[in-house]
Amino acid sequence: MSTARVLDVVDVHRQFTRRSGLRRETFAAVDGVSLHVDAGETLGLVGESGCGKSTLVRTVLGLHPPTSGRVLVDGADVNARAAGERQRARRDVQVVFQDPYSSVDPRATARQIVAEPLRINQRYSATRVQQLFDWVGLPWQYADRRAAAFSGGQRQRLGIARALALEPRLVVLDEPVSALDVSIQAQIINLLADLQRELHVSYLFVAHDLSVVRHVSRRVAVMRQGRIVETGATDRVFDSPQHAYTRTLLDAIPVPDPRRRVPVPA
Amino acid sequence: MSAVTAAAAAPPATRADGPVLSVRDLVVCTHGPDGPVVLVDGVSLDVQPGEVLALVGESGSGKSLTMLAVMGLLPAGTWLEHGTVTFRGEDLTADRCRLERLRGDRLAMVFQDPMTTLNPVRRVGAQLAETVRLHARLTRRQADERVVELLDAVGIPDPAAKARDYPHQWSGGMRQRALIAGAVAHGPDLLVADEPTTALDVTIQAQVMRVLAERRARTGAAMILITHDLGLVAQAADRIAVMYAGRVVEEQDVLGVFDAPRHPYTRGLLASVLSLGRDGERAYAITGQPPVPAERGTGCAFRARCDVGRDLAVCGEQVPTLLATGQGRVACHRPVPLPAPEVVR
Repeated sequence: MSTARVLDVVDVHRQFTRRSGLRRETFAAVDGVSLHVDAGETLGLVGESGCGKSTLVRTVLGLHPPTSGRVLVDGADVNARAAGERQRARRDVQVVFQDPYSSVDPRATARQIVAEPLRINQRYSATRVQQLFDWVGLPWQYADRRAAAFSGGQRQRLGIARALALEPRLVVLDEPVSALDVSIQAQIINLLADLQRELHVSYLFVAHDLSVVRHVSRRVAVMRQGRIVETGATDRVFDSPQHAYTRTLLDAIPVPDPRRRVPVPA
Repeated sequence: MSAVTAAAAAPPATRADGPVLSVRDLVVCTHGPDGPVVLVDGVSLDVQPGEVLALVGESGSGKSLTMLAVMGLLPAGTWLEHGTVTFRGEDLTADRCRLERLRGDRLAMVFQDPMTTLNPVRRVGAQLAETVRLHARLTRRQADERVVELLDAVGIPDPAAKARDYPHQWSGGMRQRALIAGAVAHGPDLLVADEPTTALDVTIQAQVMRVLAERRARTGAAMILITHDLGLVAQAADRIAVMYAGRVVEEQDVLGVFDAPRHPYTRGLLASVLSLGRDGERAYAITGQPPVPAERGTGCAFRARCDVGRDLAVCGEQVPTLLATGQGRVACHRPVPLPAPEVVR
């Protein structure tokens, strides 16, 4: 059942129409994107706000259908007519959001949060929940604490446990560390790397922080104005960017070395 | 206990030609279920004229609260328990009215989120004109002209027309420029920038930092840059003060911090920065997380996460005082020796 290609995005377009007076204006948020993610690999997707990253992510998750094009997860179309295929595809893609404070219900207990996807799919078992806690490094004693009592990093661990509950083939990581402190970011990134090695899950890692993307992904796609402007092996893209926009993006990152300061024009 | 900290490493008394801002033994508290909880615990800092001091630390380390206390803008439910703030030789803690007169004039602040700091239902130009007129005797028309000049200086295209826009019509980068324009309107002596670019994209961040540096160069203002982005710090700061759990744990000039951090926390923070040059390898991570203010307990607040002092008795018993080293100040019982055995770059 499993092919090497876990996610296949084929020429996806997504347009939004807005009416101003009598005219209709069409805006292409995603304008012909094709990309793929192989089994067990991480694809980094970078771009600035408004470039269409989030729209693309929603399309991959099946949250809104593409205007044209197809999103295939393990060969199954996320927007298939047939409910069985659609559900299988969607179960195999899970997501971890940027802000652990708004993506985890503060009044639910840790156990409830992690168990929810299992219950919905009638696959609940206490041992499974305990195993998920174990995987993401949360002490089992905390299972009955409410999420509000957890720190940002711990809530993000809950979010990761919840995403992994149904053994997805692909996890979309939408800026999973940008809301966290530097010292916690590294913990979460290491955790994600460990989980990938053990579970052979694929990641679509969406971020605007190129240092993080370089660290986690073997391949990277740079998005701008709804299109992928450059894609390739991370090292190649970062060391010799071919597209002018990629270069601009790389040059804009402040280098954490006071001896390599960019002079301020007088 | 905090008084000792200040006495141990306080530079000589303030003179007219001394530091622009001098903070001594600042303590900020809030209400807890079992009495007051200390959030900022005896912070002492000096800012010299024209310099950029970076205030670095994790969320909850008290860096923003420290500066809000300096500006007299502490949020409801927190209060200044103790400490003095001296601005150009004047004690501001004694005279609230004086502080209000200086704020926005000699002492200005740029906040993190330009979405929430501008009033959404008033035109950008009108909001800036208000700032301009607050500290200068200008007619409305003169103030409007000044606003156009200011917007032009921070690189807003067609400033006269743009001034009539509402904030939602502006991008995040433009809004942040507008706030900078307002902050430098009166040529302040000190600019406090609290995470000025965190909400912005990298390319926009670079532009805003450039505008900030350029305006600062023009006005000669000193700046306190509050941030957690060590890349930004390396690029912009002259000196760095690292805060942890409400205290300053290390202070050095920028090269000192990056070449030879003395506090284990600083060292860990630098090591966990993912740089563009490294990939694939495992990221260095400081284990655990910062203590909740009410549960800091005795001893060094960093102890539980520290490679060096985790099991040392002294670290569990005594809060380390901030002591002068050759290069700066460090609050640690076992500072990383000099020269550092592994210099983290």
